[in-house]
Amino acid sequence: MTFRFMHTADWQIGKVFGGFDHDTAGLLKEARLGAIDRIGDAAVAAGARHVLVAGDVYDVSVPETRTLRQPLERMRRYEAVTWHLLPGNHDHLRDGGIWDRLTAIGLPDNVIAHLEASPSEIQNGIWLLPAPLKGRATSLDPTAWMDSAVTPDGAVRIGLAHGSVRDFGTAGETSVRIDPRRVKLAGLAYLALGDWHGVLKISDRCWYCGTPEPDRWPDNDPGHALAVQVDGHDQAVEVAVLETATYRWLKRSQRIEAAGDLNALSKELAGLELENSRLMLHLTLTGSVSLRERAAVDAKLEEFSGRYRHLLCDQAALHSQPDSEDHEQLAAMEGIGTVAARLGEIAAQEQGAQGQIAERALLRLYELAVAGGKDAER
Amino acid sequence: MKIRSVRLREVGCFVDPVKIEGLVDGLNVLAGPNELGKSTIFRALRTLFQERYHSNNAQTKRLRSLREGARVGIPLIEAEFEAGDAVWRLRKQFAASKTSAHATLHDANGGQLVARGPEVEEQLQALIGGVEVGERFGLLWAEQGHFEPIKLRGGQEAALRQAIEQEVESVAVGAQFREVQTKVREALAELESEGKQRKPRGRYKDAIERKEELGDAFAAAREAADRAQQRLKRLADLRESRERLSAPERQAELQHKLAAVRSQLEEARQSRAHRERAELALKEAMLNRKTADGEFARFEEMRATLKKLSSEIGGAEGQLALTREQVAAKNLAFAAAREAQQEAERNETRAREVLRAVEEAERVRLTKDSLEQLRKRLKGGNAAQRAIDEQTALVNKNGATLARLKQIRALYSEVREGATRLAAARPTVSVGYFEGAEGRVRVDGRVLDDGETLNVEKLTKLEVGDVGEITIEPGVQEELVDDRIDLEARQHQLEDFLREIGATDPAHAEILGEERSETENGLAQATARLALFAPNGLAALAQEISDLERLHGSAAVRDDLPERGSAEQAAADAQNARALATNAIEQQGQDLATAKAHAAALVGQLDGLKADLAARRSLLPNDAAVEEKRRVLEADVGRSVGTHEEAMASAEMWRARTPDDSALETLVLREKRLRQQEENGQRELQELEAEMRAIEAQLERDGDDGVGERVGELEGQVTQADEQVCRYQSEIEALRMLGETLGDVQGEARETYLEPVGKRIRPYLEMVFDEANVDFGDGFDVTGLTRGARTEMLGHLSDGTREQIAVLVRLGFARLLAERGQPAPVILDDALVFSDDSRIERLFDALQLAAQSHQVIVLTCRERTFEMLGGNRLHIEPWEVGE
Repeated sequence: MTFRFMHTADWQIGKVFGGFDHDTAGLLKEARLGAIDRIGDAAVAAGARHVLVAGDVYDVSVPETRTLRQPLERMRRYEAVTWHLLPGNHDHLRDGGIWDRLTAIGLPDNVIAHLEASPSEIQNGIWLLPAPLKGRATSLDPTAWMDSAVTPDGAVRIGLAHGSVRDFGTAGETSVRIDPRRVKLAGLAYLALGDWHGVLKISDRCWYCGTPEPDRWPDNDPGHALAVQVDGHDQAVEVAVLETATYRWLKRSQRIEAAGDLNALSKELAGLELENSRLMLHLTLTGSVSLRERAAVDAKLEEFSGRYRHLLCDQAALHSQPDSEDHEQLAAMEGIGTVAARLGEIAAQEQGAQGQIAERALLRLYELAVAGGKDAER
Repeated sequence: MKIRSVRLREVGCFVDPVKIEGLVDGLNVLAGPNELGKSTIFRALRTLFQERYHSNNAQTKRLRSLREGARVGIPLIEAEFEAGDAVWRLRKQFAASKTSAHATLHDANGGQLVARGPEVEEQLQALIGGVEVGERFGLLWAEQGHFEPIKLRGGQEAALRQAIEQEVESVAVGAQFREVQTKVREALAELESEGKQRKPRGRYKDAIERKEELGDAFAAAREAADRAQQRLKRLADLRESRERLSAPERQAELQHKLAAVRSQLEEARQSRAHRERAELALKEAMLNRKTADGEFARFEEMRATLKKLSSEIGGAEGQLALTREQVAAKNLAFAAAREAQQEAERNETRAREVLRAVEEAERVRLTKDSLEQLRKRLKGGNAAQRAIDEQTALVNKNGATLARLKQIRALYSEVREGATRLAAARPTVSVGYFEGAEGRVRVDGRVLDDGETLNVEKLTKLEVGDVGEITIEPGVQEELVDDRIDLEARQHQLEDFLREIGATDPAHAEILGEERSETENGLAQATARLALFAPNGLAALAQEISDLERLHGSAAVRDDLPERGSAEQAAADAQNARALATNAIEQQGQDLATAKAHAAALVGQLDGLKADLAARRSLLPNDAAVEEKRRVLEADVGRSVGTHEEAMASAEMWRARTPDDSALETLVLREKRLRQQEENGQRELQELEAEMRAIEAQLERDGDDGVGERVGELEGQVTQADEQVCRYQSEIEALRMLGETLGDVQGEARETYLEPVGKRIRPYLEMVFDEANVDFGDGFDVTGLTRGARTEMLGHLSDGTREQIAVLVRLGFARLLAERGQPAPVILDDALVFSDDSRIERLFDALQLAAQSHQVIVLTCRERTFEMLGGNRLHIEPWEVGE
């Protein structure tokens, strides 16, 4: 008995990207819906008739009605695929909540919301044991009931849950704990977990699939779905990791001494064979550059900002200090050299805010005196 | 450069050509009255060196002379000056038309024409410095009343800078510096207002406002989201309540309880109806039994009554006969009592007559005794009256009344005291005889005894036998004269009083007083006796005796009368007997009436009994009828008792089976409570569902509003806006620091830069003001004067001080220029008009000192004052233009 299905989770439809410009925020939002298409396509391609969504289909507890409907319409299009949805901690089950609203709206025929902790046969001999969450946090293991869940002999029992089997610390998404021995205790052929946004294999039969579309610069490995094949309740499980992300959230730290140092990064990014418009770049610059070079760095960053979908540049650790040429240029102007020297002195001596202000003032002096003055906002 | 001469034609007041020549290197003074034309000369020189010859501006127009008939002349100005190593003659004719305006420059020594027309201005610029024509000179010229802060024109400032920069190696700030400073100010001004209260403006203000707006929107969205969460929670609670309320087991339990209590209630009500009916039946049976019993009792009563009536009639008839006998006996007794009463009344009358006779006899006897007593009292009274008369005569004869005696005693005491006092004041003579000489001393023929003491009251002579006579004369003591007169007066009064009562001396008077006192006592006793015997006087007593004698003197006394006590007793006994007889007859009368009434009553009673009996006998005429009636009534009683007992048993049974009021009330209340519980549950359910529908509708709206997503969206925007504000704040802080540093550097540079000027001005300042220094602004304009530790703003200084500073600063500038090889004359046109005598002398010293370095030309109207200045005196002379 071979059973193929897609394992996905943490779609978090409706997530807003307030920290981004309006256009980018819209695209990122749309990309999360696009992930459903890619998962549906992958299911069709893999011959999987079922997609198990391990919680957090929606991001907020009170989304717009339009937001509620959007993923339903995407799923509806894949008639040959049945989508099994599970309330997670973001969209947990509650009276009048998302799931009641969905029920009121009416789910497509190929979409099943598993709102009760009870086994259901989703295919001949294949029993799904869902563990819907009824709160953001719970001290009880929502999968505990699976141990005593009654299914016919020889049934393939597949668990579907949302929570943490590891002490993920601050990176954990939920306060829901799941006993990592659940697979064995409940005789599960596979436990499909959601919550952790990167792909993570807990055991051969227990996986986190991660979110299909990243929403931040993570330290894990997001942007995937899993194609799973189960050949029987005691047979080996095959898991294939499929890429589903539209946007690549890339984090880089670069130490520079001159604007030219950014060229290497530019080349590296070009080599990713990724459309620049799909690159979300978080750049942390460190080091120290001359005033003259600082202007060039700023110019380069402006270029990056235009090239990639988004650039977040942290320059707090990038310092600007006049070199001899800067000094020469400034000293050539009556009195300016003296001012630059004094500001340089404050910047060098003061470690705190005063030092940073002096550094910024020095940079502005250079811009106004030498470069002719630039936009104060930059 | 030095001016050697100046010539004018048709300039201002100088219509005819004039000249001033002979100007020397040092100090030159042109002193003259007002309207001499000094200011015209000043302006002419300035125009010559500062204005181009074809200029047609206010300066040149002002130079035009006013000829008679208002014809305007064409000003011609010529000056010879020394520049470099040569002397030059510069001539300019200022006119609006190019044909009339012209300029020439000659070498004054050789007379060669060096330049003409526009070239003159170029040559002039080359000769007197690399700046605009003549500006350097204007810098040094002070005009009358023009002592406001020196405002340098571009060329003037450049000339000074040029001179300073020859001296100061590092020039402070330049145009780029100022440009940066301006940009910083502008950049800051775009972000915040100037002044102490820096307020955000422009983009910064917009950013803050946007941040605040977003913050408010975020808070509102968060609030809406919280409300949505609360609604969700409330909905969950409501659903739980609904489930609880609509739970089938709960409903079933309630219905079961309700059915049970209703059944109990119905049963109780039926029992209650049965009991009520049983109670009614019992009541009726009781009533019937009571009626039967009553009937029987009444029958028995009637039977007894018949019997009793028959008996009573018999009794009453017997009693009536007896009573009638008693009435007859009472009539006899009453007649006897009446007889006894009449006898008693007669006895009483007799006893009273005897008593009255006894009383009359007694009264006669008493009157006789009284007459005897009265006669005795009259006799005593008469004796008392005689004693009174005798004692009264004695008292009248003796005048030693107690009052008089008191007076005599007082006078006697005073006389004795006065005599003693006078005697004490008089000399005394005591005689003591030697043995054998006794009796040899005499006074007034009397022998003085041995040891006798003689009080000498008057001239006294002692005869001493065989010896002679001793005359003793008491001295006159003035203080005793009055005493003696007073004593004598009292002695006379004493003697009068004694004489008046017939006493020889006070002792005799006392004896007379005692005699009078005894007589008065006797008189009082006699008077008391008289009052005792005849309280109303002897005449009244005599009248009383006379009256008694007249009334009872002839009455006789009977001898056959009993004693008064016996008579009184007999009278009282007779009265009592008569009262007893009266009482007896009254009692007999009452008894008789009572007996009669009783007899009448018995007759009436007997009649009634007989009538009653006759009436009753009509219903039950005989014993058979009575017996029949009795049997019937006994049967009725038996039936009613049976029915009653049955009814009692039934009532008792239903009482036992029926719940009491309290139990029934409990059941009713329980049913009501359960019914209300059911109704309340239904109502609560309806209300819950209504509220749930409302919340669900609201949640749907929340969903349509995207409350949750809105919070996330705004949170990001708030963060962005906050970062933007932070960026502006960072920019402002950087610009402020940059601006402040620029300001600091500029300030320090100015101090360094102005030092060469200050160094030249200071010697002149110290000559006029002690330890003073001038303060310069951004350029070379003077802003204030510092004396010691005190700095005064220029505008706050007096006119005199300001004009002195204006002159001294120009001297400093001129000295700097001179020392840097660019000498220029300082020209003062009545520039010291407000200075007092003390200051002006110091200023003259300064001008003399300045004249050591460069040429100084002073134009003044204060001829006498400026005589102290010294210097080369100038004069205005006619000028032959052809010269």
